[in-house]
Amino acid sequence: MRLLEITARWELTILIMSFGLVTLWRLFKSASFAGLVRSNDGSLSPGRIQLLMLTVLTALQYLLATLRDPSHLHSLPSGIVAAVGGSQMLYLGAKAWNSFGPKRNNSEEQ
Amino acid sequence: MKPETKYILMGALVLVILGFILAYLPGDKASTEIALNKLKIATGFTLLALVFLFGFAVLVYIANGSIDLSDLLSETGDSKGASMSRFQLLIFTLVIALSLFLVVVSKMQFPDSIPPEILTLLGISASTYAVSKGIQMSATQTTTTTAVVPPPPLPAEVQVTTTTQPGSGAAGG
Repeated sequence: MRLLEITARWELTILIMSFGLVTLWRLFKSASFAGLVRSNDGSLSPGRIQLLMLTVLTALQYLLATLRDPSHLHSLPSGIVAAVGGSQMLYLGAKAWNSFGPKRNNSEEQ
Repeated sequence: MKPETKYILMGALVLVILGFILAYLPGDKASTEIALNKLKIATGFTLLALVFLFGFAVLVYIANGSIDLSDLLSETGDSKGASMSRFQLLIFTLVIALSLFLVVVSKMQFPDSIPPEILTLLGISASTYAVSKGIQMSATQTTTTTAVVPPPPLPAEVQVTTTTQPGSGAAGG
C-alpha cells in the first residue's frame, strides 16, 4: 500500500506540473498578450495596468505563502480582497464608460 | 495507425504487464486477507495507469496543437488580443487549485475548511468576467441597432411604373 501511495503522489505531481508547463508554453506561443494592458483603440489603459499588477502580485503572494507552509490553505487579508474588488470596479467602470460614454455616442453621430 | 489506436494499444499493454506482475506477487494464496489486499493494490495500480495514460494523451494533444488554447485568453468579436478578466480568472483559478493540490499532497487529506476570503476572491473574479461580457455584448447590440441601413433600390419595373403613373393619371383624369 505504501508503494501505491508514493506512486500516486509522484504521478499526480508530475502530471499536474506537466499540464501547467505545457499550458503556459502553448499560451505564450499562440495567444497574444497585447490586449492585457491596451484598450480596444490601442492606447495604454491605466485601469488595466493596475488590475494586472494587483492580480499578479496577489497570485504570487498566495502561491509563495502556500509553498512556504503547505500544511493548510492560507486566508487572504481582507484589505487585499477589498483592493481587488475596488480595482475590478474601476476596470469595469472604465470599460462601461468607453462602451456607452459620450465619446462613443459622438463617434456614432458622426 | 491512428493516434487513438496507438494509445489504446499502449494502455492495454501496460495493463497486461501490471496484471502479470500483480498475479505473481509473492503471498499466501490460502489467506483471504492477503488476496483482498492484492486485489486492492491491483485496482489501485490499474486506476493509476489509466489516469496517467489519459493525462498523457491530453498533454500530447495540447502540445501538438490539436487542443487549441489560444482562445483561453482572447475574446471573440471586435476586441483584439487577450482579455484582462479572462486572464485574471485563469490566474486565480490556477493558483488556488495548485495551492489546494500542494496542501492535499503534503497532508494526504482534504483540508478541513476553505477560507471564505479565497471564495470571495474567486467570486469577485468570476463576476467581473460575467459583467465584462455583458458590457461587451450590450455595446455590440447597441452598435448594431443604431447603424443606419440604406433602403434597398427599387426594381426596374417598379421604377418604370412609378414614372409612367403621372401621365396615365392625367389621361384618366
